[in-house]
Amino acid sequence: MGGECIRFMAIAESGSITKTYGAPPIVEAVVEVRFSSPVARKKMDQATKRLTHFYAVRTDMKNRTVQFNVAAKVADFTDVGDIFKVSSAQESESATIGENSITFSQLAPYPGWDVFSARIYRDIESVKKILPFGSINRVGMRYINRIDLAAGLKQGFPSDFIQIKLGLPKAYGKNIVHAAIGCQFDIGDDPLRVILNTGFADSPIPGLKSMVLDLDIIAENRPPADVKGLFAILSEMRDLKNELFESSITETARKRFNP
Amino acid sequence: MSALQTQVSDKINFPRLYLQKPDITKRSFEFLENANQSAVKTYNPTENRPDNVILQERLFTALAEAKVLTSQVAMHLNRSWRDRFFANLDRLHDPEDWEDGDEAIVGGSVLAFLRAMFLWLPKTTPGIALSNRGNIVSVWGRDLERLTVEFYPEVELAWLVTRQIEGFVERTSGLTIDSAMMRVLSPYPQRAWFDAPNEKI
Repeated sequence: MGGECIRFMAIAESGSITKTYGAPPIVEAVVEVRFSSPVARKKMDQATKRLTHFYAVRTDMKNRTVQFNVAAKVADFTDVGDIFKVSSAQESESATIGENSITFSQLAPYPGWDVFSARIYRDIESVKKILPFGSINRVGMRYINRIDLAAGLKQGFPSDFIQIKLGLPKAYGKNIVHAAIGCQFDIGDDPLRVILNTGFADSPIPGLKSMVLDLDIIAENRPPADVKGLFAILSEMRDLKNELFESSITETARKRFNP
Repeated sequence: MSALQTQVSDKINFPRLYLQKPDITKRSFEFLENANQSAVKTYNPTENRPDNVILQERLFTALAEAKVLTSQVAMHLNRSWRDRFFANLDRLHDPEDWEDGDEAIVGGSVLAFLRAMFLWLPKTTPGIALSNRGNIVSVWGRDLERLTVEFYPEVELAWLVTRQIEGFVERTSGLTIDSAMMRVLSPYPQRAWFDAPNEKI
């Protein structure tokens, strides 16, 4: 158990060294690609049909606004756009096409970046001639981690698991009921925007507390020219995400992810 | 490492998820009335089955919610256990065998069932059925030595113990909460149910 269980895997294309875990704490991983201009419904439908070759279930949804008229006791629903979602039979994998975006989601258990990115690549290859991958204006990558802890809340963030410190004047005491931190950073010369949200949450596992570590990385001012450029940015974002995540946790936490 | 930490570190390792066919009489425990154990069928809402669309959507929505809720603890579950659990839920929601009046699975019951699995840590995989309220019903043991539990949303559950004593069939039932279940079962051989080797059905 422990350190020797952590496998080191060389990523040939990026030259980076990353850790993989047997039971990663990732609750959901999301990659979103936004386009500069809206996609026609016909194109969205066409792209979704292509993706149904890979996914068991298709769900068509409407984006709606609701306006309540209290005096007349009526509610007006207005359709403002379509959303087409395809998902695996187990609901853990999905791709969603909106009017100006395509989003890929992976719920737990997270199979690793190699598998997740291969799915994204496969899907994009199948729809790249339908959706405007030549006019991307924003790329987002979000990893929501939930670390289940036996530790309580009274001593602040558990330093044996999390490297992020909660610094408060003594006057606040140690009996913290809830704690959360939200920060935004620009990182790198050609910066990526990083939004970090961390804090305590209820655990679905009885008797435990959870620590959420939510890393949202955005590339907004450096649109990739094509699919190749998109994957170069995704690779860079993923490396940054790994660096931030690994620097945010302790060796004790790493052991927890390799039961 | 504390006991709680150990619980999380050790994946729940139910080797198999079997679909048992409980033979509890409807009169003795009505929540098994609509136990639905049909064959696997792939559901694809894009199929053109207009007479059944509403039912399919209802079942699909409930199943999807159950699977997404399970994903919240999937990192602590044995993967094959999860796959079999999902396969059983799919079977239980086969639109072909669905009866009017049945309720699709309730998300709160899924959470309650999973929570109980982490609390009780049974090694034996229970048989899974659905009550007509859409709650998960699990069965450990077989024939006349059996524990049956219906998981209500949140923490409350209904339990029924069936045992054969000196030629008589004793049935005892009650309502309790998941964290008290081990105390409630203390007069009974609960570990024999929870730790019995699985038998293929």
